Amino acid sequence: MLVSYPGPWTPFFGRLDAQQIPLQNPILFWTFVLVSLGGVAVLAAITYLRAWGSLWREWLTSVDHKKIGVMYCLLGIVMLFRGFIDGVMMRTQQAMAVGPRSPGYMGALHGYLPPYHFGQIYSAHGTIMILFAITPILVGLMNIIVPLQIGARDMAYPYLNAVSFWLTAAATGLVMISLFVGDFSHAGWVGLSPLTELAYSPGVGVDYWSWAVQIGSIATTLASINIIVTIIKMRAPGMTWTKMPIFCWTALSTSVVGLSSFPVFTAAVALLSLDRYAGTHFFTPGLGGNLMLYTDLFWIWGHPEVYYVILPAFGILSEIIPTFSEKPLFGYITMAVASIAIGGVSWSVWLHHFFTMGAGPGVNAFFSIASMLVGIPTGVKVFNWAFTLYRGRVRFDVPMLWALAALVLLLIGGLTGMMLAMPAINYTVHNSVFVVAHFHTMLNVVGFACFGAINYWFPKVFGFRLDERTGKRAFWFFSAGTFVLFGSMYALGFMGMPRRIDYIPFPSWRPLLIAEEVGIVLFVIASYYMIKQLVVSIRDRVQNRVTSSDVWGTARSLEWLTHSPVPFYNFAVQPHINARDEWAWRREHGRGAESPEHYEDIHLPINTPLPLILGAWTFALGFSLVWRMYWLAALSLIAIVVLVIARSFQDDPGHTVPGARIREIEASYRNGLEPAGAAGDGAGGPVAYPGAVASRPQDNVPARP
Amino acid sequence: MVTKGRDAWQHPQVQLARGGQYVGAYIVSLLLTGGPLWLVVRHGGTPWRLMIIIVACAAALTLVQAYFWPRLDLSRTQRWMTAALVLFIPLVVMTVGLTAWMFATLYARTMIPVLLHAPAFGY
Ligand code: HEM
Ligand SMILES: [Cu+2]
Repeated sequence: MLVSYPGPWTPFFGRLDAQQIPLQNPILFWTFVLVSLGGVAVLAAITYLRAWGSLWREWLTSVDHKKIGVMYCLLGIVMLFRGFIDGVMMRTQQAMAVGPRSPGYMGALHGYLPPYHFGQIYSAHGTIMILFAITPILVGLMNIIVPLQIGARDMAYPYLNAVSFWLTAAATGLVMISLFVGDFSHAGWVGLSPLTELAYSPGVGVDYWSWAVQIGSIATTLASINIIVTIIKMRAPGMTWTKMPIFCWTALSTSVVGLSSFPVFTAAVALLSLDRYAGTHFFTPGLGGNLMLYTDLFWIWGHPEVYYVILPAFGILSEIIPTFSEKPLFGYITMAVASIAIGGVSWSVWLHHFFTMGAGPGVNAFFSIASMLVGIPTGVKVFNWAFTLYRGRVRFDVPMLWALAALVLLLIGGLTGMMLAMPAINYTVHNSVFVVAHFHTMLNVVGFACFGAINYWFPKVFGFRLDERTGKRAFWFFSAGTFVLFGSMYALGFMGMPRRIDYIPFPSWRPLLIAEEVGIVLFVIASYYMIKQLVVSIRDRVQNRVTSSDVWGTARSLEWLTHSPVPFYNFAVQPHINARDEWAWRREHGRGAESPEHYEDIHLPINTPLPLILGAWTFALGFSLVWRMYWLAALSLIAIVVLVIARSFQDDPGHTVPGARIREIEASYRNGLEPAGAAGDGAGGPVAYPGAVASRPQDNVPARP
Repeated sequence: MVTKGRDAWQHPQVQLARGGQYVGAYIVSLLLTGGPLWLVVRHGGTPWRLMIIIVACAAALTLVQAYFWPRLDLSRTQRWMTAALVLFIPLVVMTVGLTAWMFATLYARTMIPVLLHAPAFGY
């Protein structure tokens, strides 16, 4: 044994035994019951609807970028909900456990969560929200939209795309199973060192965290490679760099940030794992270890990571705002340059997360100034959006509401970021909830942009609109919740309330903590309306059917040229790009999609279950490493390597859809019939709810006055 | 996209594989790491001289490994790989440089050296 830890170990089960299943904890027990019942209900429903076959053929084994994108988004939304429940639990604990006389329940001295459990909740919340909720949603959106916006048939590497997705799913599965088998890290989403070292966290929690984030970050690195190559190599003829939609610019910038920074994180956590498994001393205090080196490496990734999530959000805002201002985006070139500049500067500011470490004044000044420089390109963007709105015919559809509120939040978050970037201020508020309020404002910008994007692109992907009324209610409750909750949190931060505490000693903070609880109740109402919006929209999908390629009537970029829902081949004929806002240009010139005499054959990759199988083995690898079942770890690793090598020998000729078939599908789209088999063909299909394409008066040039 | 009739052995990157060179590069790597180690253990030379030797060996090692293992060169097959590596160099220099700067005086400013010799940390 290279390292020692408490508790038994057997060769077959490793550290796992029946005691690791927390049946004695009522919260976890009932969650487990609920999750199992829900799972059984879903499986039963699939069986009852006889949907296993099509689920397998059209989704689980798909290499179609639209379907993988939808699966990414679904995964992210489910995890968003899980992270949200964690948030509700933390808010409730902090509203209850105030002052020495506050009562305790369920084994806690105050409130209802003992410190150890509270620590796991905030660690899971942060890890999930940033890495397994927002990141998958954004990667999913990029997956769906980038190839459509550049007029490509798919991503550059469709198979790699599916692998990235299933690796993300495996990592997410590890985080989820830690609820019911063993426990999760209590060392924060950042992995506070040396708390993560074996001596201080001998349980399996940190191991769950570390293997999940390592697998997840490998997946995100691969996804970044795919997006970069897709954008560089697959643009439609005529789409020069300056004609590329802004969302693609941000996707490119973000993927460069992702590709260059995620490996640092993977390596840092791998070194931590060496400490925990092989007894090395990279980050231990003493014995040659350097615990601040972990913090340094973490934030070399961590800060670029926050820009990794904000840049696609900026891209989304840049698509939504012009559409609903009925004007082209102001300052396209500066917008593109600013996206790249933000990505670049994000690499030289990371020390602002640990100013209080005690580096010299020169160092702190350098990083302070560098951090504030980020404000310049960000400011350029904000002014560009404002000028786009200025004298536009502004419409307040649901996506626009989310986008406009995101601008307000961006301003607040940006200004508090500037405050935090000054070491003198930072020394007084570091590790207080002021920081938490800052980054929640910023991450809410991303959240708002994602909700806007989902409302905006949903009709394109599924062929019917999301319900407007419930959507607006969700928006208003969510915004009210954001302002009530985080407004109070800023105030508490100024009063000096530390972050990550399970017990609040000062009763004078109680009113603001209750205000935060009110805020989270507003969020709960908002999520009720979000679920309702989805249910109502699916129920009324036939009325809400989309009758033109451009639902909004004023959209501008290329994805609005093809049918909604998008057929599996994206564009029947590869479009030639004439202008920066191609769809707007064609609309103004009275030209829709090309419908030629002769349709070319379309060549597409074939579906494969291998990515799913690789994901399953990766899950087994992570799980067995967590529990130190070394035989299973070795077996999974061998299986993964063998499968990857075997796949490279497998002859994948792809499959060809004959031009005549494309003609049929296109004709039935145009005649308003359900394109029989457009969903099938084994390789993708319109990502559609079948009823939505039942009948459609199809015209490509929308009838908007 | 999909290539037809693909044979993994025919893949241009696989074609670059050279078993002998791999082993050769491994032996050279051992020498280039073992040499400086030996000098350090023997305290051979002033700290300055040692540092220059170590840095030079490390640079040589990087080149040897980059060329003989993943075969980063300017051929059609490999130039994107090489470009990616070259584009990362500024980031590596920047992050390592800034890290060295922030840690240079850290121990003197904080009490870490004192702590290092405290009994709680194994001394
Ligand atoms: C104008 C640009 C920004 C500046 C100047 C800025 C500045 C800062 C500073 C100085 C801190 C460290 C506070 C401390 O721990 O004492 C911080 C924390 C943080 N910021 Fe920002 N920020 C900016 C934008 C953003 C954006 C766009 C995001 C994400 C979408 C973001 C997310 C975060 C996160 C997640 C943390 C803290 C993480 C943690 O400690 O757990 N920030 N910011
Ligand atoms: Cu930062």
